[in-house]
Amino acid sequence: MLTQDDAEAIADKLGCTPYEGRSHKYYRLFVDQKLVARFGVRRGSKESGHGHLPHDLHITQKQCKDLSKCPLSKDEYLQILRDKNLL
Amino acid sequence: MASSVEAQLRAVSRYTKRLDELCESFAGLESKVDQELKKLGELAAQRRSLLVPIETLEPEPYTLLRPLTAVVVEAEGGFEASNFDLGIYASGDTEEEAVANFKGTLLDTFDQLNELPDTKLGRGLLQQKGLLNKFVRGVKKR
Repeated sequence: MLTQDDAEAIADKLGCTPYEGRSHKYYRLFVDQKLVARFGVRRGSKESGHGHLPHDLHITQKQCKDLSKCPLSKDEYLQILRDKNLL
Repeated sequence: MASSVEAQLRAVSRYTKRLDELCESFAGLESKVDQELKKLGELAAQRRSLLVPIETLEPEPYTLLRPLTAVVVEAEGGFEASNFDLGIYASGDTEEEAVANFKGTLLDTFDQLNELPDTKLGRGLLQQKGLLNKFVRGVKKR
């Protein structure tokens, strides 16, 4: 299960900028001054599932875990976005 | 005569041993099939979906130009509400919370993407902005 900790670890690894929304705090990833990905973190939900993360980041749940726990680097993540023509 | 009986006993012993091995192997397979069936059952339960029509964004000052549907599914430890076409996904501990978060995420996404000029958006988000603007209109502040 993807948690708030995973989301924050990913935000930290990708160097995302925080942004306050209505019910969520968002993290935004800018590449070459363009916004290329954004994802929300539910407030006060340390143990709750963040199953929307893979969709928001355009990767699989496993890739999300890899991004959070280490094996997948920021460069590799950006390459995935590039391959999907999303950058 | 004695050696013939002995040979038959040896053969029976071999067959019995083989039969025991097959029974053991079968029990292992049966256990694996049970485990896989249980997993399939869990997946099927997770995939049970509820379609929630969204017809208004009140009390937020936004107009929904056409109704849309949120698909709510049970997911790990909660629920997820989504609209694949618009690329909006939200989670919640209950179905109601997931739908409320879906509406919040929809409006947050609309606002964030419209705050930036098209030249500052990646291809994926630019496309999402175009789609969202066909569904939502913000009320201009006076």
